[in-house]
Amino acid sequence: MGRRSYEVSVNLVPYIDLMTTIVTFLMMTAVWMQASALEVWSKESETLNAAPTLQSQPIVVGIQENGLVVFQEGRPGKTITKRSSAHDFEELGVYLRALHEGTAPSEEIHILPDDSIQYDHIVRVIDLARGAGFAQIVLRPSV
Amino acid sequence: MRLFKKAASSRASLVHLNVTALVDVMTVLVIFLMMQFNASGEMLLVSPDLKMPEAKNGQDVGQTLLLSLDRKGNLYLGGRQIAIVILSRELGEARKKNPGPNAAQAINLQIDRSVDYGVLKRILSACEGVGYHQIRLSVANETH
Repeated sequence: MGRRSYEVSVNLVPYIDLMTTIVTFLMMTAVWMQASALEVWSKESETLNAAPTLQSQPIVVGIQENGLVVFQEGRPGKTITKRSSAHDFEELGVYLRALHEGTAPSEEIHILPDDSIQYDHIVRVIDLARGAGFAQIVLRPSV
Repeated sequence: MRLFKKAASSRASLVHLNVTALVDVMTVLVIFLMMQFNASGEMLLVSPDLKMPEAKNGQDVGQTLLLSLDRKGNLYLGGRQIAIVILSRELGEARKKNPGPNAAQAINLQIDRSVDYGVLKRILSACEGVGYHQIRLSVANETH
């Protein structure tokens, strides 16, 4: 009487082939940075129907070489000077949040950077404005 | 003696490679890579000379025309390098191909974090001039 063998093996070769191909493809197309977008309108957009309705006197954040200036109703309301040669974005964030939650909540804010200001700083201010709750952000050319 | 006997008798048997560990690793890798797979494809065009600023409150990027500017001043419109002097003309041609009212007004800007606003202003004004009014500034999600 011969011994009956019950050894059963699954052929994994096609599975491994498929997996290797998928792993290679996914690794080649992998993006290790998650991107998002901050939506802004530029100054001339106010003529458009799709653009936000601009208020007569919106809040304006000026980004200057020596600090940040927040204009309210056309007048400089608060100046945030540089702290150890860097813009104090934390204080601006707190101030903008307080402004948005204030008595007359506004949805619109204008950003007015100087020409020499780095894009990184502009994005930081836009991000803070968005975080404070302003939904319509308008990027204006400096005057 | 016994050991020797055993070795001699199993010589003819089939040798199996244990692939369980390999299959395990592959499966975990595939699941991880598939979960963070980005099908939209905007990010594939990022050049090594372009470091995007970080932000916490970004929205979805969406599929629109992409304009990128790296720190060396190279300008790419839809993946094709162009000179800044002909930007308005090129944007105008891109706008003509897709003249819809709402979605087509938007443009994605991928700009290096060290670029000055003076340069950005030129790009914004060129976009404005041809009818791209809604500007989406691409940012990297802040990790902390």
